[in-house]
Amino acid sequence: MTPPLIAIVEDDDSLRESLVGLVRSLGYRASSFASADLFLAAGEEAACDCIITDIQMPGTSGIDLKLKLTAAGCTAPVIMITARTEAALHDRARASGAVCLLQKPFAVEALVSCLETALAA
Amino acid sequence: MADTEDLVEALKRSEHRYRNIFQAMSVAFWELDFFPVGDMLRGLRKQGVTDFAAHFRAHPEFVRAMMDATRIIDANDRTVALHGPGDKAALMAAGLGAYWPAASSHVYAEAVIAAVTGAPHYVTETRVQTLHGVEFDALFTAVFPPDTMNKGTLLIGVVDITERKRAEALLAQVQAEFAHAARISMLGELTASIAHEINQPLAAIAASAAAGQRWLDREEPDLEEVKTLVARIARDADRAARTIGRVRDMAMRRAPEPSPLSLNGLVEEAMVFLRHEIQSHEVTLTLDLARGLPPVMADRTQLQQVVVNLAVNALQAMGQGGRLVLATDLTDHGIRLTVSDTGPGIAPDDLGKLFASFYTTKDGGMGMGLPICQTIVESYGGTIKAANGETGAVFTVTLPTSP
Repeated sequence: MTPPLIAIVEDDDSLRESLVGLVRSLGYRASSFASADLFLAAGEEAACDCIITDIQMPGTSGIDLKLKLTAAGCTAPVIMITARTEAALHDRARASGAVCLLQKPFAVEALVSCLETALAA
Repeated sequence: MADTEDLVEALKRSEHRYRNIFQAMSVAFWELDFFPVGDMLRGLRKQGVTDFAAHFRAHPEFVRAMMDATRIIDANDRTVALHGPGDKAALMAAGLGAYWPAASSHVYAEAVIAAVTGAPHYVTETRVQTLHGVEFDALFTAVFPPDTMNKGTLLIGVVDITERKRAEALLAQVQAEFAHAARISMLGELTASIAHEINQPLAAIAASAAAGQRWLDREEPDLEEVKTLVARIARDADRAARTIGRVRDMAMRRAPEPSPLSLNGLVEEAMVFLRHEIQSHEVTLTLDLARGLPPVMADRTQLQQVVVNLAVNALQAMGQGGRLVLATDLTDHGIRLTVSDTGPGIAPDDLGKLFASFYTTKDGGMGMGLPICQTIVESYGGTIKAANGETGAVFTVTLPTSP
């Protein structure tokens, strides 16, 4: 059986690379994109089993990405990460249908359990 | 005969007037006999020395000997008050060398060179001392009138500028402290961005470390994977350290140290500082930096402060969205940096007052940012101007190129 594919959407190079490393160490496959627009352009939503995305990025935000995916009928679970602390933004993220919302700096174990829950569902 | 008497009378009056001026001036005057020094210089020429300046540099003892050979003909009351123990005889007996600290010897040498090369006078700021060896800052003037130079006499004026120097040093210190206070306040406004710039690599390090742990925990640890992760951890730790370093430089209170700087490098560095700030304002950043610019002479932290301050002002003026453009180019007046935004621009009433202290158009603003930017830029011989462009405000900083 092929391991699940996790798409990582994050504009910060070092964080994106290390998230790929983490996902791979968990035994999953990983693909990565520096923006939501690049992710959408690649048509990756059809292939991936879960998406980990930053909220604030140049171009389409992580929240808008989730809304677009929902509108297009994609049901892959989306985990969101943000450095922003505003409650309104967090509310919007949850309302958009994110399975998990992690505030940076986040505990790695929290992300790992989010991933496991998302993939088990 | 009557004509001769008149002439003698006129000369006496002229001499009397000169003596009065010589005595009454608040400048310390020395009348010196340079004749023996002339002999020494002729002796040097005979030995084949053509470059006096080089010879004086190589032989400080010769400069001292010239000083000692210079005879003091007269000194006025102000000289006695400034240099002497209040005793004119003791002042004159000590010889000229007693009033020249070793570190100022080159000034005497330069004055000699000015005299022999036919300059009408020589003026500089230096340090001289009292008979008791107490040094002070002085404006030193040597006058070489052609008619008295033939006889070997010349006039030296010394003005005590201790107070002025002290005031200048105090002003520079106050300005540096204000600049520091403004940097601290600016760092306060950038806290979220700074935290983000440190959080990103920390999150990356945590993820890499957790990944490494998992590779090691496998039945057959994958050391190649771990190697890659460890290298990544080192790189991200370095990134966090550099961010801390930038913040520390900004927060530090120290005297400005001008050095030749690349303005483009400084702008790029400042934008690293502001990356998150620009993103959270959803602003598009455009850097239009001319290549091959000569360096500018300034203190790195202070100039960084100017760039960051102008960019933060632009971001705050625009609120959410818009375009921030930082451009550099070379003009006839030096290197120019323009910071333009697409905000509401500057109200005509505000244009003339922007650089006045405590004038602010921002809620909670102190009104110190721009005046301090102006002080910093001007202290390096540059200018700063505010104007309205086609779409918003345009701030232009021009700095002279470093020689």
